[in-house]
This record gives sequence, structure tokens and C-alpha cells, in this order.
Amino acid sequence: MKAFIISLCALVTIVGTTVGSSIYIGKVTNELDGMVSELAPNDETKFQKAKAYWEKNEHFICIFVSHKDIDNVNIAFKVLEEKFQNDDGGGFYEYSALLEKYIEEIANKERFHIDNII
Amino acid sequence: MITVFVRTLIIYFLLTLSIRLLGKRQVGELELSELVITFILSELVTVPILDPSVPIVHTIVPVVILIASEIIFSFLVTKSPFIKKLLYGNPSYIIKKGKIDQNELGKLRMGLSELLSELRLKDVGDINEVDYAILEENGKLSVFEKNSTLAHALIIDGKVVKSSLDLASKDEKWLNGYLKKHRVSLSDVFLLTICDNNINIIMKEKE
Repeated sequence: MKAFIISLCALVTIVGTTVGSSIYIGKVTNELDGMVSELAPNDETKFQKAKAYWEKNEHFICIFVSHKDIDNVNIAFKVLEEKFQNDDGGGFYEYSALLEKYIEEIANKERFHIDNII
Repeated sequence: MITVFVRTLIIYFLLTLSIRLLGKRQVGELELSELVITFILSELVTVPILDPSVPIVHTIVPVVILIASEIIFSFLVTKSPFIKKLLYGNPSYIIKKGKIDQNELGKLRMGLSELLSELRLKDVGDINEVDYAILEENGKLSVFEKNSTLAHALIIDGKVVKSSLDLASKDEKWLNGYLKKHRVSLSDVFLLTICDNNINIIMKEKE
């Protein structure tokens, strides 16, 4: 009976944690997606804000999401950061679009949807 | 590389603990669901060891879900004969009172030569000497020769086993009469067996 109750509690905790993490990751990626879509080569403040938000949540997302997807986002952020540092606006929108795509990829993988289940 | 080392240790202890929780039976006799879990676990745990980009949670969560589900189902199986039948099936009586049940053989998709081979493996040379041959839930064949005894469990954990009543040529009316005569409530009986009209009863221990 004890093992049964502990197992039931473990199952409920796991369900709660996975649902909670999916909702939180969905919220973070949605907000980040919004921030990245507003990025412009002449506005570093918005970029720094988006980067800081990502760094704040990166460790949490890292627990649940493939590290390859995290690396992709980090690489795209790094490229954009270099462009700001070198005052190089060329290809900025391509990289911000790529960053947006990587963030959406994380969101899509975490979304509870029939496409992901099948 | 230290990451792989730590991950391997975590997964090793998780798997050892999981199999320990499943009980000692896991190592030897496997039920159907335990066999399924063993297959899945062995594949599942290797993924984060071989691929460091996979979060370790992707292994921990499924392992915990599988073990917890198995414990929950095992508990439900002991409480409900219906769930037990659904998940594990019932033992199949291939030879009943010395008579081969051809219908049961067909249902099991088991040929007569296969049955004879199984009997030979049990050191039984003549099928006519067999009183009962039962294919158990774990796929093993139990054989009782005519000079041996086989007790039928009529009540298990407060529940009547109807198939055993038929085998013992008894009915529920007789069983209820027996319990009434001995002033015993059905729910208080842990095990009641019958063997050649000798009845053995074990009552449930009070918690």
C-alpha cells in the first residue's frame, strides 16, 4: 500500500512538473519570440534586453530541452552580438530571423500537440 | 568527459533502484508487463549516456513513470481479478483431469507435438499419466501426474475463483454453505484451497 501511494504521488508530481515546465517554456519562448521579432541593427538596447531574458531562463530550459537546440539559440545570439560590436548591419535580419526560428523550434517541440505525439 | 561519467553514475543508480523497486522477481521470472519494462528501460538509459545533448530528465521522467505505473498496476492486479485477467491473463488448463482440452490448445496456438515436447522436458514420458497440465501466466508449463495432488484455490484474498470452482466440481452455493457452516465471512478469507475434498483455509491477518 505504501509503495502504491508513493508511486501515485511520484506520477502526479511528474505530470505536474512536465505540464508546468511546458507551460513555462511556452511562455518564455513566446515572450522571447516577440522580443526578437522587434530587433533592429540600430537598437542594441532591445537586443541586450532579449539576450538578458534568454540568459535568465537558459538554465531552466536546458533541463528539459535538447542541448543542441539551446546551442543553436546561443550561436545566433553570439552572431548578432558580434554584429553590434563590429557595427556590421549586414545580414542582421537574416540572423535575427534564424534566431526566431530556433526559438520557435524549442516552443514547437515542447507544445502538447497531436503532431508532436505522433 | 566528466559529464558522461556523472551521467552514467546517475543512470546506473537510477536503474539499480528501479529494478530493486520492481522486486526480486524481476531478475528471474518476468511477468508480461515486467518484460516490456525491462526492454524499454535497457534502451532508454543508454540514450543520455551516448548523447550528451539529450537532457538527463528525458531519461529520468520516463523511468519514474514506467516504474510508478508498474507498481500501481501490480497493486491493482492484486486487488482486482478483472485487471489481473486483462493484463496477465489466466492460467490455461491444457490437460484437465487427464483429458486434453483441444479447444484450449487451439486458443493457445499450441500443437500437440509441442505439448508432448514440453511434457518430455518435464520428464513425463506418457501423456496418459498426466492429470493436469497448466500453462501458467509466465508461459511455463506446470505438470501434475495422476499420483500427485493439485489443490484448487477457491478463494484468493476474499474473492471467489470461479474457474477453480468448476475444476473442483463445486459451485458457489456449496462454497457459501461451507463458509456459513464455519461462520466465516468471504472477505475475511485469505486463501481457501480444496484437494480431494480436504479443505484448507487461511484467514486474513488483522492489520
